[in-house]
Amino acid sequence: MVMPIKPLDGTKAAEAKPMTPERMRPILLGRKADWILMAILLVILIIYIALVQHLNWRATVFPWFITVAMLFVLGLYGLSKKRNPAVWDEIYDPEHESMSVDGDTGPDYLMKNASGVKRSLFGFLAITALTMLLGPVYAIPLFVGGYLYFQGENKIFAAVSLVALWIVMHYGFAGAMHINLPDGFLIDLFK
Amino acid sequence: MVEYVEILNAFWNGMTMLFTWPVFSAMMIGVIAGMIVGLIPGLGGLVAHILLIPFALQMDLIPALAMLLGVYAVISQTECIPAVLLGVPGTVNSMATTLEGFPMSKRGEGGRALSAAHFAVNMGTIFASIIFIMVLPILRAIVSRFSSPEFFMMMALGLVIASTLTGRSKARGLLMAGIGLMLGTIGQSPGTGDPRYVGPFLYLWEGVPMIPILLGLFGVPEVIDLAARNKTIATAGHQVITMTTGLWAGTRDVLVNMWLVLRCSVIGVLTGFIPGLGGTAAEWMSYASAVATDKDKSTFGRGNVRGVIAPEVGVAAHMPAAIVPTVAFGIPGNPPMAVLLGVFVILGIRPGPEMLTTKLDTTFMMVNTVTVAGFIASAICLVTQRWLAQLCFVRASLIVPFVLAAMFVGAGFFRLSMGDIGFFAAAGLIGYVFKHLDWPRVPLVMGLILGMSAEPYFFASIDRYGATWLYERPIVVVLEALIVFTLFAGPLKSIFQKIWISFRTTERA
Repeated sequence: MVMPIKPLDGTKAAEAKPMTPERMRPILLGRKADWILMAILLVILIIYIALVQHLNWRATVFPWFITVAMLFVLGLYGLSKKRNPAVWDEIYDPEHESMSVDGDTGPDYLMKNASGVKRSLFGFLAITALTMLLGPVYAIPLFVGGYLYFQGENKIFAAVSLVALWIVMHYGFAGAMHINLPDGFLIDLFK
Repeated sequence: MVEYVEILNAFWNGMTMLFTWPVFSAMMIGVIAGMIVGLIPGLGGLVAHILLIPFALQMDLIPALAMLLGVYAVISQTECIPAVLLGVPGTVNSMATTLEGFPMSKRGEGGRALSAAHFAVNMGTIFASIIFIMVLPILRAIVSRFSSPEFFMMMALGLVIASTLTGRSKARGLLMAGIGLMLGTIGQSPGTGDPRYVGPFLYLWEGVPMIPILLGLFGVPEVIDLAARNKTIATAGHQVITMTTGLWAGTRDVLVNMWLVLRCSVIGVLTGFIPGLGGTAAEWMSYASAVATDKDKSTFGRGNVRGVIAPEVGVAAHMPAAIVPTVAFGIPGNPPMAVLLGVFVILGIRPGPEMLTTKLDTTFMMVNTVTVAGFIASAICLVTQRWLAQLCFVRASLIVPFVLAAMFVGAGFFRLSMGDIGFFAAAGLIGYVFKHLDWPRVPLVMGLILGMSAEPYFFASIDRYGATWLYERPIVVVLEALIVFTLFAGPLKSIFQKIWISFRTTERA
């Protein structure tokens, strides 16, 4: 089904190109995400300036300058978005498919690769949590070995990578180079 | 004349510093690491750069600089290999090369295109060094007039230019620079020593950890996307076109088009001097210059060797040139230099006039490293490009865990604290959002780095000159005018256009 939409390029509605729902969804997602980002930024700015009010004026000059300037720009940006919501959408224009080198940015890409992106983000959060709990010395070799194993790479290669990385980090960094990477919270608990 | 003798002396000292065993070997590590990581489409040279930073911080100053600049120098060399042989531009900086190089490769002239590209890169860096030596006395004269007010205003200008030129939206760029400035205010206030935004965390008294933030912002989004795609960008559909012929033909092409090389070198140097502009501007302006001056424009897009030479020279010439504003004014000339400036500050290099006077040999060591590393990379690339191209086919499942592991370890190296990992992960996730919403990340980094230096300059100016420096110092006034012009050039232009159109309409009526 082809649906009429608000023009994306500032032209009159009659001249606007019709767009399919498949194309509209990423555009709307991008616009919504932009507004959310602006709202978050506004809240951060209020907290940011409130937190330094008890300090000497010299310590607050710069934060005040930054806050006022950002509120001004944020206001202008919000107004321009409100007046013409499509002003930043040109990246999703079918005739200019992508301004990125390999077409791998933007809400369009995120929607097309939603499952892969979710899996990757979850994996990144998992390795972060594992590192926080066990520390990089144990978490990183476990992650590398596990990732290779579950991605179907050679099992021996995965096991060798796991052991080799642990040896490098435990004996190479800590033992020989005296670079003591931080311990995880769980390791600290048992010390 | 005496000044030029002094400059050439510093050039020679810079060269001898480079050719000492520890410095040269560190540069070679950078060259090889840059070639391997830089060749993997989707990661690119900037990630190679960032991966080596934590290791550089454990080294002495000069070898660390040589290693990082070794990576910096090979980026443009390696990018042209997949661009020409596979039609896969590693980054936007090799798009123009792909346009002409890949068609040449398809008709069996890949060797000629690559040879021309590598030789053009070397000519570009050599010409950039010569131009740098020639304009150095002028630069020194300008920088010697700089004091805290000028440096403060120069940083403000650099930030405004970078914010307005990177990305498609001025407002987004400025907001990102603002976020960077906000992060830069965390820690002890330079004006009073009061702790700001540190809460109960002693970790934050020294400010936010710059390297984990850089690693997260620029490295993590690329790795997450590589894992999400779970395949290499260079698919089996792309045939590696191998060849050994045409090497001399490519070299000859560059020599025949020497005037084009010189013109594109000047374009590259000028774009390198403008903060935050990056190689993309140098690339396309040089390409446009080649098209505009060619008698037969119809051959462009179908494999014209001048279309390979011009962008490669432009990008190569802007690379050593971008070092100059970075070390002289503390204003990064391109995104990799924004990252490097953060490292310079941590390593103890203080940007300022002394980098063009008493420490000129260090500056020349840096410029020479880019030139020499480029030569070495060309030689390696010409011999091994057939095999190097195979790196583009390495499965993502093999790359992702090792690159991510290196990033986590690198982030943890900074202050050896769990806070580093926290900041790295947070910056990674935020960087991912910014990347896909098209909010430019370079102004954020520039805001963070420049904010840390700008605040002390601001208070030094106030303490020394009161408020008079804002209107009494000519360079400050010129810089203020440039800031206003950069910010409001667009709206002013449209207002004047409207006035002009209404005036013409009334006149006709």
